[in-house]
Amino acid sequence: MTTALEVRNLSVEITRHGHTIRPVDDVSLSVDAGDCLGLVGESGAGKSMTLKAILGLLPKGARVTSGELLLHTAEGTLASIDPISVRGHGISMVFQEPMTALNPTRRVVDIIADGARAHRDMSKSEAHETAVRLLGEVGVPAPERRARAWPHQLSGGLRQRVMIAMALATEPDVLLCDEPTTALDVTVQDQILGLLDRIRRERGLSIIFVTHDLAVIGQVAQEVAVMYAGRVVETGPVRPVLDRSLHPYTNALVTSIPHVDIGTDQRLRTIEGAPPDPANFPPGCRFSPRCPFAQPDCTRAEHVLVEQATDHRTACIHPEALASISVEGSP
Amino acid sequence: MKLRRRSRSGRLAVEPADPVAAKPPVPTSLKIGAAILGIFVVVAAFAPLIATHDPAFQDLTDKLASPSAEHWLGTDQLGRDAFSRLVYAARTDLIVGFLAALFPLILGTTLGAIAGFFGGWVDTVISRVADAVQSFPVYVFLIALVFVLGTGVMPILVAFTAIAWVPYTRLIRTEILRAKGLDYVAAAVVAGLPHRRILFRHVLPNSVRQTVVYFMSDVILATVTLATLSFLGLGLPVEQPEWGRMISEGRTFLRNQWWLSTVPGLVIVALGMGYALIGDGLAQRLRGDG
Amino acid sequence: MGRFGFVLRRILGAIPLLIGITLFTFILLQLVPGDPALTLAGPRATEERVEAIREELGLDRSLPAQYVAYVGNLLQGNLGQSIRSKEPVTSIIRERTPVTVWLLGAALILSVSIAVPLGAHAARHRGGWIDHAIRVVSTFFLTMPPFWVGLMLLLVFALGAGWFPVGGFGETTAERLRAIALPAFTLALWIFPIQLQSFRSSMIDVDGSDYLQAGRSIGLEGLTLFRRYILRNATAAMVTLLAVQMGFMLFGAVIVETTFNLNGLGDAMVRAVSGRDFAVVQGITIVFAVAVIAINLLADVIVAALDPRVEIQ
Repeated sequence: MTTALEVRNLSVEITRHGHTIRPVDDVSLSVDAGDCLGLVGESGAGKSMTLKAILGLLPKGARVTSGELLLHTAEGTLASIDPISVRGHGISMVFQEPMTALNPTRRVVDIIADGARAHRDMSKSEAHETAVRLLGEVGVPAPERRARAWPHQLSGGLRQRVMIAMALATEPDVLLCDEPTTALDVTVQDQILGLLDRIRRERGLSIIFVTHDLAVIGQVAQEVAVMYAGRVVETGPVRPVLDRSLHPYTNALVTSIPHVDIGTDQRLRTIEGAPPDPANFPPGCRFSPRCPFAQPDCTRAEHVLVEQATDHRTACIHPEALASISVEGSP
Repeated sequence: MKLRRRSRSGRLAVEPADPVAAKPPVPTSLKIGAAILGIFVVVAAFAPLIATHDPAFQDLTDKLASPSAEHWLGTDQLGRDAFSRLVYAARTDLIVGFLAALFPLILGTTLGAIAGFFGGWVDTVISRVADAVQSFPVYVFLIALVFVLGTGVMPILVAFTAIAWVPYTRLIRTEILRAKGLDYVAAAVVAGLPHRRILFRHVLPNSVRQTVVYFMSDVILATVTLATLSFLGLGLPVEQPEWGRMISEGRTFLRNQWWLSTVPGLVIVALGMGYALIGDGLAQRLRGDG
Repeated sequence: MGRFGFVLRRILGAIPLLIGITLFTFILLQLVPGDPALTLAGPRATEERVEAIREELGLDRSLPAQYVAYVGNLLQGNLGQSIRSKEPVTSIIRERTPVTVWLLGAALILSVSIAVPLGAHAARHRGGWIDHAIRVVSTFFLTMPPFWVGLMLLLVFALGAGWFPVGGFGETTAERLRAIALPAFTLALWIFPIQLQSFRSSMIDVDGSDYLQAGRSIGLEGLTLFRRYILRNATAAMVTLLAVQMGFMLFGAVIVETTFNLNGLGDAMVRAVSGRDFAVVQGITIVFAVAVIAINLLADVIVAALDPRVEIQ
């Protein structure tokens, strides 16, 4: 497998009123060509921030303090690149809120054509044709007619398809999806997930899919990375991570949804306690204050991802405690 | 500055933030604004003690005198002491400006509360009238209104009230409707809690900040408008010392006695800045970020 | 279709407003203390003469009949005649309108050219010291009485430096521009702070919007991003504000014309007020009111063209 995109040791800091917080702390990720990597965690875990850092879209006041971005090149090697230069050239993004992420004063066709022309020089009519073709590809019915519509005239599901067409117009190798289905109805969610899965397979696209919803991960991802309090705490192929979690946090996420295999719009709020304040992360393992298996040495644990099974890594220093419980607990 | 320390594992330790103080500190802008307004209030209250001359006393032998130890700001075209008139005018401008902003606040808040609480046709009538006033070119009618009502304090108060009540009504009405929509308020109403308590509990805290902002910008506008009408000869009776009229009277002598018009204008700007700073500071404090 | 319907609804909505304005001015006429016939006839007129004038003016008829006659006259473009100069009010208005239009136009251009760059700058550096400084300065101008600002500008640039005439208008365009410069600047200084604050918050809205991020994410930048993603979204609110400010601007024009002795409509109005010349006050009030309504309609049309969402609001 070739690696399409690799993020190495990314840290993001925000300074406000003289206090510096680090919502993304030394995060490393990689996604293979043609694969979907699910990035999962509670809100505030730093998932979206990680994604936005990749395209240099961090909000005012936030900055990348360390990290390297590597993108697969035509020569077959990974090359270090600058976030802004990959916009429209290699990486694009699908945003969370289709209601607000489309320019309200621009017609659908122009929004998509902008992407096509940003990627490479083409005539207006050529970009227009591309836009209509993409609308068809993402499953917008009557694409010629819908192309003339304004965003507000479309339903949430259609807008999200337009958003995906806009992202595809730049012919990316990697698509970043920031909770693209959270704002949608459950049935529409499934359609969009199906669409993303289809274009991934048809185009050989790599996807990083951010969500707080493990059920969605089970549907679309091959690999998964679990984030907690700004750090990746567990990574690995999707089935082992979900079925035999090696981190108590992942385990808590998994057990807090009744059926992993059906879509659900339930928010994950059943883990005891609240996610820590980024201004005041606990020492050692940041999950330890909420962890039912916490040992005294957890508060001194260094954050290192250790491979416990094939490609399956965890930052937990007592994965054995969890393993015994899950064996007992599962029927 | 908080200390940051990197441990060997590369982890960033951030010192806990200060526990949130019970009350945010008084913003500097509020302090300065209150000081400015305070000076004006003291001057207005103790005008007879501060003024060096009788503001109405005319000395036609000493017209248009330059500033001196006797007449700090010189004398006007009738030989009246400009400084004393400036001091006495503070009474007029302060009180009229304040009242002209207070009346719309009272009227607007009352109407908004009535519309919000009673709803139904009462609400419809009040909202429609508010819409009409809003879309009416009211400032155009200000002069016509003063023309009809005649000069004096009353027409100015009436005209300004007729213009400025709408935003308060809208604000209070919206807040009450919002509060009514909250489950716990609906529950309280069912439980038979009196309306007034709902108002104080849920509507006041939310609308106070915006009300203060509206009021402060209204006071500034009212003060400037009062001076403007006087300048146009549509304001207060001629005898009454007023800054706008002083500027107007000094206008003829702009070339040689420039201070006659300049100083009252500066005084108006100073008062306006005082109000603006208080408004800013109060808004900041009520928002909770000192 | 939807947007066209919106504009049509606005035009229809203006009709009750226009009726309201005629009613208002008509009622004002009834409230004026004193008998207009007596005023018009002069102090030494005979009883019969006064009676004749009363009949001529239609003052002997019932109020509704008078109102109908009044509206009828208005529709025919008859605004009555000045008590002082005996001139028809319409010709006074025709004579003085160009000056006011010049003044308003110049002030509008000046104020927007101050407000937009400063507002954009403040938005870009929001929370910083530049934003703070811009806010303090604009508040400062908001608290200044415009006539006083006008006098100060006169003192420094006309009486002192002698760069501009002390008052009056001109014949050639160059003369007019020179004559209008200080008055327009005075008016602009009074109205720009509110435009600035509004534009600043529109820019902040656009800047924090998801769609701008989305635009950036596909590689749009610089002028293209500004033209396609920022400009239209930030100007709609500004256009509405300018229309809303129109009434305020006309009040400002009255002040500034008086300050600079410009023979515009505002100056005529103030003179008419002190001369108790009601027909002129009434006529100019109506012209101002209709102008404000027309400008607001125009703004609605522009906003409808800029923002496709207006039909659903």
